[in-house]
Amino acid sequence: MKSFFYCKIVLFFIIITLSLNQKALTQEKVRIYGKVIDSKNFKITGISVLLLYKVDSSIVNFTETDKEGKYLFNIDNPNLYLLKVNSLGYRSQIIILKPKQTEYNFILEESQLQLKEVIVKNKQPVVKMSGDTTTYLADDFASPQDRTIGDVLKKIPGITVAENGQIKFNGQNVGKLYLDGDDLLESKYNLATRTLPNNIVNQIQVLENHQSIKALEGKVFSDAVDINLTFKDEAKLKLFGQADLGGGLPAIYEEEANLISLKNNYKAIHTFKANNSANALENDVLSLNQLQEIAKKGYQSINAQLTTGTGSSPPLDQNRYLFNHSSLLNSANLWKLKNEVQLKSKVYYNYDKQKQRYFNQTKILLPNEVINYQEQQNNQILPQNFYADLILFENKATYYLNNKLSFEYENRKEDASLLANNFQRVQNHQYQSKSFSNELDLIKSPKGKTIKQYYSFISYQSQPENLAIDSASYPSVFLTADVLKNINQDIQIPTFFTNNYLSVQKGKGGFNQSYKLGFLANLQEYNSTLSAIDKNNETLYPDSSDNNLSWKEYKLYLEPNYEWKKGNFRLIAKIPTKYQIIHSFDDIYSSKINDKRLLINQNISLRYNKEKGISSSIYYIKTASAGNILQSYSGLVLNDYRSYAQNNEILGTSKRFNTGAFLSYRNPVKIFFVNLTAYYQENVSNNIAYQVIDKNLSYSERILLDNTSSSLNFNTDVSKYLFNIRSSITLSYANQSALSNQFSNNQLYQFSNSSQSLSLRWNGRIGEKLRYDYDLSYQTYLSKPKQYSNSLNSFKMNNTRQKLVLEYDVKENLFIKTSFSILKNKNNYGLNSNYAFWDFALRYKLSKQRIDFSLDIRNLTNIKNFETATINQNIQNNISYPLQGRMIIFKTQFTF
Amino acid sequence: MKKIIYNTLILNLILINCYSQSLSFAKSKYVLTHHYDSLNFSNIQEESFILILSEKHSLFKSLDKEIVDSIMKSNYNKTGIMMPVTDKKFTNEKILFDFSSNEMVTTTLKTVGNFKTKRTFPEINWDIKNISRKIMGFDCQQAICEYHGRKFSVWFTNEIPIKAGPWKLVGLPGLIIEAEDETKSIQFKLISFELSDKDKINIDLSEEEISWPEYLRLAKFMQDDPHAFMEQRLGKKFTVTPPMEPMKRNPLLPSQRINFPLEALEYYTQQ
Repeated sequence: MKSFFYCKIVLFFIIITLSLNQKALTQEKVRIYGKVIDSKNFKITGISVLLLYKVDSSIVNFTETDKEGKYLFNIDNPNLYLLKVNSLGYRSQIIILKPKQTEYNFILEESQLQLKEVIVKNKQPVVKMSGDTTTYLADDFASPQDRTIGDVLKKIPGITVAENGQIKFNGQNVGKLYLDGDDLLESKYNLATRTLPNNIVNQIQVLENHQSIKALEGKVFSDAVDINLTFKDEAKLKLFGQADLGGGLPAIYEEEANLISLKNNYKAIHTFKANNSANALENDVLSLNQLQEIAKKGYQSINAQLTTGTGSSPPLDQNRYLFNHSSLLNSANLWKLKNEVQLKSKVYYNYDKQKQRYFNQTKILLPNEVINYQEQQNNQILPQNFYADLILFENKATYYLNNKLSFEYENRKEDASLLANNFQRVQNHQYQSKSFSNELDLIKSPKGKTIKQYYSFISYQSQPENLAIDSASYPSVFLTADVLKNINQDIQIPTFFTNNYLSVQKGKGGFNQSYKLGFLANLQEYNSTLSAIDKNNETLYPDSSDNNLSWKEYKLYLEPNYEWKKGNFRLIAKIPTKYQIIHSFDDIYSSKINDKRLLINQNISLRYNKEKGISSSIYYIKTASAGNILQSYSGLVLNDYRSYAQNNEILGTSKRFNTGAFLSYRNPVKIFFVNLTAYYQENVSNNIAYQVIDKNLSYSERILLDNTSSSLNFNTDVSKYLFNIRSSITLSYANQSALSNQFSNNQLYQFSNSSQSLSLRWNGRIGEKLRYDYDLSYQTYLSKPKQYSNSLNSFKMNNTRQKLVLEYDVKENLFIKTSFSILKNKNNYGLNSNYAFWDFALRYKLSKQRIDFSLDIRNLTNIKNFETATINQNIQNNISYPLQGRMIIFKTQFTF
Repeated sequence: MKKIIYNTLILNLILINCYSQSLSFAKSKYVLTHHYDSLNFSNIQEESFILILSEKHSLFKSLDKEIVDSIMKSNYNKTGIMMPVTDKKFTNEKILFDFSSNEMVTTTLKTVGNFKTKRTFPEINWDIKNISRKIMGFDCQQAICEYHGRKFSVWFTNEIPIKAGPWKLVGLPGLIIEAEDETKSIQFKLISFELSDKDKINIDLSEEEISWPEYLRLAKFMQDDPHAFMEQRLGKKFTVTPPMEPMKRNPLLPSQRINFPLEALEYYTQQ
């Protein structure tokens, strides 16, 4: 009964609906027509007349006026509609249709162009991925206050930039920065990121698994990550540049001039920079993938062995603490000659004059005691660096040539006035290094045939070094309690090194094999003398005051290398096998090493690489090595005023095991990037540094003892662009725990170090005018001897750093920027510190003249001193540094 | 052979600058994202275009092409060598649309010759939908059409009351801000709109103009006997070893790797 009732209702509605439809269908169309004329009664032809819905003003239909200026619509129900004419050059007009009227005429009033002066840019950033290339548009992430492309790179989701300029993409180091496909700067790409203005860059293309050698493209797998910048048209046509003139209080200067060419056949970056505003320019010319270069060459140059003190730089932005007069003159050029041959050169000269002051209280943690000492340093450092290289480069599908000839000169003079444990001394340190090298890489890859490669690296380095201390007493070394004058340590380690190999490679289907046969020679000397002048002006030499070690190391190696590829999987196995001969001899001590051995290494990795989305790899690397001249000298060396070292004629050997996994996920459409890295490292060596630590003078000696150290590391980054709030968020977490052995003051014990860090970076915009960039990092450290759980014997510390940068566009050409940073340091032993810094900047653009004015006020609250604590293994420092204080800089920038 | 191509290119560059000009009031830039390979969606070509607007005309042309040409030209002026700047192929065709006559003219500067051909295309039959969206601050409304073998859905705005749009998509009562075909293989997106009275629209087609059927005939001639065609165009005899083979494909068709061109293949050679 009930269902019948419902049926009736349904039927009723069907009938009603049908009859209504019938009515609609049969309803007569109404002709709506009229004329469009202007105020002078001239008919207007070809103008659009729109029919709109009354309710939401949406367009239903449109037509155009004919030659007579007439239009016509056929419509059903005039009550529902409006008529609108909107055209350039006339004021727009709307007419509401009336029930009985059918003719509507428009008389248009002429008016100025109605469009407002607006430049609308598409605000949604777009990230594209095709194959291994991820492309960002620079303008999507840039703000009007950015000056260089480096400023923009920092804000891009998936990309991070370290303090030293190292760029990472989704957790992997970026090796090269190409400028429109050309590698002008090799790994010294800070010169580009810190110089190139961001507004000339069009795209930022991240190239993963990038094989930069065309002759090996598609033949030899590469896991390199590089970035290519493409430029806007105007930038490619002519030379351009900028000049910055800056000056301020207190007696500050900050000058910069650059000249850039991004033409297809000539690329160059020339820069001159000079400042005393706490920006040391040595980072501008830093080589950013040194580890890979060292691995390729098999060679690491020798650094300074002596120092004037034990202090380190404060954990602060350099521009707060550095007292400097830095200048850098650089010229990098790339010419394209005929037949795709490129000639490249880089020349730079870096001069610096730095003042360094600090007060340092050090605690060295030993299982049964804590050793304390203090030092107060007042140093003047004069580093100078000259570098020049010349590269001949040819990169063709069948042929590759890269020959690099380079020369580097480094000179460092340091005058230090030191108060250590209330004892005053003056020190002078001089280091001068000259090195020449030539690197040749030649590849022939005829189509379908075996690939042949010849590689040769040859280098010579000399680095005389001297540390002079004016008055000190070293009873245990010089066997006299007197205060000695002029204690002198000289070291000279001339090194000749060459590494050459031939390799052949053949691939078929998914299987590739290559064999490398090479020869390496490392010829070194370790010459040193320690002497002092006593109060009677007689020269004293301690026992074993000299080293005169000659070191000859030869390696003959064969490296078979296999690569299988199936689907998205790739297995790579390398088994480098070396036959090594070391002859070393010191005529003073008649010490001798004659060692011949076979070193077998392994390097196995499995990768999974999908075009879009996930890629991952696992790897296992075993590296065996033996012999290092820096661990084998027998005479005494005073490394700094408070420590000296001596070794026995031992041959250090080590085996390093490294195994890990890497996982990354990319979704460019959603602008979402995740990566996870985990690795375990173990180092098994046959020797350890035995230390006698004392608050006045410590001693270290390398002795034979099985020594295993290990570390476990875990990193992850998640980066996402949030479209609805127009911001990028990057969250990173890192965890490291390490175990190492210490043999100090007759105690052998295991030391454990662990650290965790969590950081958040959030940058975006609110409306069109306000942008924010917030950075938070939280780190904890725990350092303790493993067997001793006593909390008195452990160092604990946590650090919080926060920085908020706000940028506001007051007008089209007036911008302000302000930043706040808060630093907190808490620890169980030393001082706790808490600082807040505030900076402010104003920038005004005279757009037509291409001149910018800017005013920078750094450290507004005028903080003059910074105290903090640091931990390095079992050493804890409480350090106090003077700061630059408030700085006001006015700058004018010309673009030409 | 290469030299001949370069010579033709130089001629092109000179010719482009010969027209008389009308001044713009605004210009907008678009990016075309073209998944040109229907077998592999990740193959993408991107190209920037500029649409110059005057009160009576609009001109749509490739910005990337202009840039590449200007670089080549400046290199040529300095070195005397015509070197390709990039291995990417950008669009040669320029599309001029006359608002009052609804006539569309395309210029084609291909190896077939430096011709400007006038082709009138049938007006597009737009179906305006009652769906609105705000894009880049503009109130936009959706419209759909079927055009040259593709179904397009576009967003236009009456806030810029001009009948223009990217490529051949014109005729709505407002500028087209975005357009995409139903397979999403072809996407035009506005990236900027700015007022500008400095850009020029070239409307004089008096030079080297030939009719479209004549142009088709020339293309066919080139396809069948490229050697004779070149000789005729250059007005002199020359020999090439090995002899030039007839071309497998009509030179007016897009390259074979593009298996999803902007318009269905027949429209490239249709009368």
